[in-house]
Amino acid sequence: MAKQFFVLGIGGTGMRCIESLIHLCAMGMFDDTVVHLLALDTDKNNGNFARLKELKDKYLTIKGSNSADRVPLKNTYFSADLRYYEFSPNYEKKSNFKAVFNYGDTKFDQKRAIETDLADLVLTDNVEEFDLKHGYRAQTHLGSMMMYHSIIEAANDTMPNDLKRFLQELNTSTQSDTAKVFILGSVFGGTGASSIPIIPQAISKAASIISPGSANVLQSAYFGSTLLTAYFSFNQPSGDERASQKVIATSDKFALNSQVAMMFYDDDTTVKRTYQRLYMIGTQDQSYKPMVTNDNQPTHTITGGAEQKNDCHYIELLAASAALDFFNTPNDKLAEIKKNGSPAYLYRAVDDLLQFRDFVGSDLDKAFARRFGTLVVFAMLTLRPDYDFPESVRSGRQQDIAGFRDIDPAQLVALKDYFKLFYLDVTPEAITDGWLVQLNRSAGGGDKFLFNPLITNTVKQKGVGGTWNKNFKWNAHIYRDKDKDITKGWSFNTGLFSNPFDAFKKKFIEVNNSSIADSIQNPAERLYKTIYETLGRIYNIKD
Amino acid sequence: MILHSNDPHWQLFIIAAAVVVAMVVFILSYITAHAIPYEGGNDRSFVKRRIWWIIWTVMGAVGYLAFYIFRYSEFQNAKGRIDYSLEAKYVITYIVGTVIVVALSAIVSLVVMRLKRNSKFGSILGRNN
Repeated sequence: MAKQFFVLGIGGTGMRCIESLIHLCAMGMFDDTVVHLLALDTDKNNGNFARLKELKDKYLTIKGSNSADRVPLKNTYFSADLRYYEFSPNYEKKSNFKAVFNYGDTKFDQKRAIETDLADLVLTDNVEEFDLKHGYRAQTHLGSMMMYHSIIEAANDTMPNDLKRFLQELNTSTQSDTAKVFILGSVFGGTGASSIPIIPQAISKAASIISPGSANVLQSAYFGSTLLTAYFSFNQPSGDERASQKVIATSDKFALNSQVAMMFYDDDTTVKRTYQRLYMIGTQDQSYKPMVTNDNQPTHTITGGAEQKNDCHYIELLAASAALDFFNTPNDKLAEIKKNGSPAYLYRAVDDLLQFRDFVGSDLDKAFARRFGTLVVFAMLTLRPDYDFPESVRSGRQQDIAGFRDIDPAQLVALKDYFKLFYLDVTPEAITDGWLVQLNRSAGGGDKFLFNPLITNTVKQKGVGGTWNKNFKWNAHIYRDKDKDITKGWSFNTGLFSNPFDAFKKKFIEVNNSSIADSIQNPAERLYKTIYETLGRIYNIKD
Repeated sequence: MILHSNDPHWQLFIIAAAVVVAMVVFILSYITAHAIPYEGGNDRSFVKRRIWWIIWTVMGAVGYLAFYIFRYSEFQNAKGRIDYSLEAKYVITYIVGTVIVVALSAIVSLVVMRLKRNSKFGSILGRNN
């Protein structure tokens, strides 16, 4: 039976961490697992939220247009069966604290006036009145309370919603097994920082509301979270912006917020009793500006909305890898921690030159290197117009390859779109960096991020657009020489009359004839599996 | 070498040469087919292999016939006259030999193509999906 894993991504950083987690699923790092993803954000129109939705749509379609076709698999790309849920507190009509809590009426209700007095004691006027549609803006004292009540309200709602569906799955899993719940988010911003401390209590309470008498999630499940400290900065707001927004998050406070949050997580008894593993992740400085690229130089502070579409950062992959580590942690270890009530605070110091083991540890570094590296090759085989491999196989244009004519074309359209988000989107009109290229840039570019620098430089620029460099020797230039300790021999020669594609196709035909993927029902997934095996063999990778 | 009608081996020699040429045609076609790389997208590399297979077969037949011209002078008898009966036999043997070159190389190739349908050589047969 497939394993179950419950992940919540909260706030803008949480959304990007989920993106990285989905890419890990695409690499095949969550074999034979149903991953339940709950994206939780206050800012429904956020650009990062939109990109995440696009990414998960592609992933789901890649596995099958019908949800019934999607099953967890092993040793292949897109092996995890994703179930996606999202929840946003509704701040469309009531968009600030005073409106949500009916402050006006309460203040003049003699029996409840004390509640508004209490609110006034801990919240300033500006905090009570700022627009919540762009999140909690680093006001975590407000955010924790608002998020908790939003979750409880959604559980009490008579109409079905994604949150209830997620909790139903969690309840079911808790009754049959010990569920693992992991929370991705930052501790220095607004929504994530507000929610991490209260989420276990909130979802446990909400789960008991939707299924009275069911197992106590808080007691039965294991909880882990990232403690993601400040790692980026953005433009300081002008005086006019400060005045118009009432409350605005400024990145110069992120380091201080992080420090205070870490002290809280080190000290708070509830947190210690709730979480079994906390992964402390951060960078040395905040020099990274995710919204600034050569083509985009914002002149104002972006508080949220569609404009807020931050580039991804390698630290988000570290956070997603923390989720993987938590998932792979044996239950007895977590049970012991839960019993003692003292969580494990985990961290790992890494060099400027990032290595595979920095993300997944020494036990999984080879598997990670294989799956990540060959997924990049799969992306090239899909995106380069001179290859267009999966679609040419489906359409019969690769006339030597049989058995894939009944693939649903929508799956391969989604595959191509997915790889544009994963790697690069190259057209004569524009070049759009995908996740991998953004991560490389965040690490400092060149060979600092896991791979041979040539893989992020495989495009010939022509004006604003470009074309793929057909001379790129992907048979030999995927991995760095510096990683020879794990990737030694992971390349192949092509011979005088051959080329990398020729060698790949020859091996593909051989693998396809060996019926290695015959047990997989979905023909598209059979194709992914055959490509997975083929690339493993031509690169001489031994598991 | 002057051919004599009472020499029992010359016809066998010519036919054996045809078999050898047919095998050479097959081997060259096979090697060439495997030297032509697969192509991405709309893979038309099998057409190149097919063309080269035809080229080698034609070249084999032509080369074999060239040998006929090379040996032509040897039909003259000692007085410098042409021995027409020997020449007729020779021509017929050569025609049979040429047919053997083309047919044998084609048959062997087709059998190997069928047996190795998923190889580059097998791709000469065309669509396999």
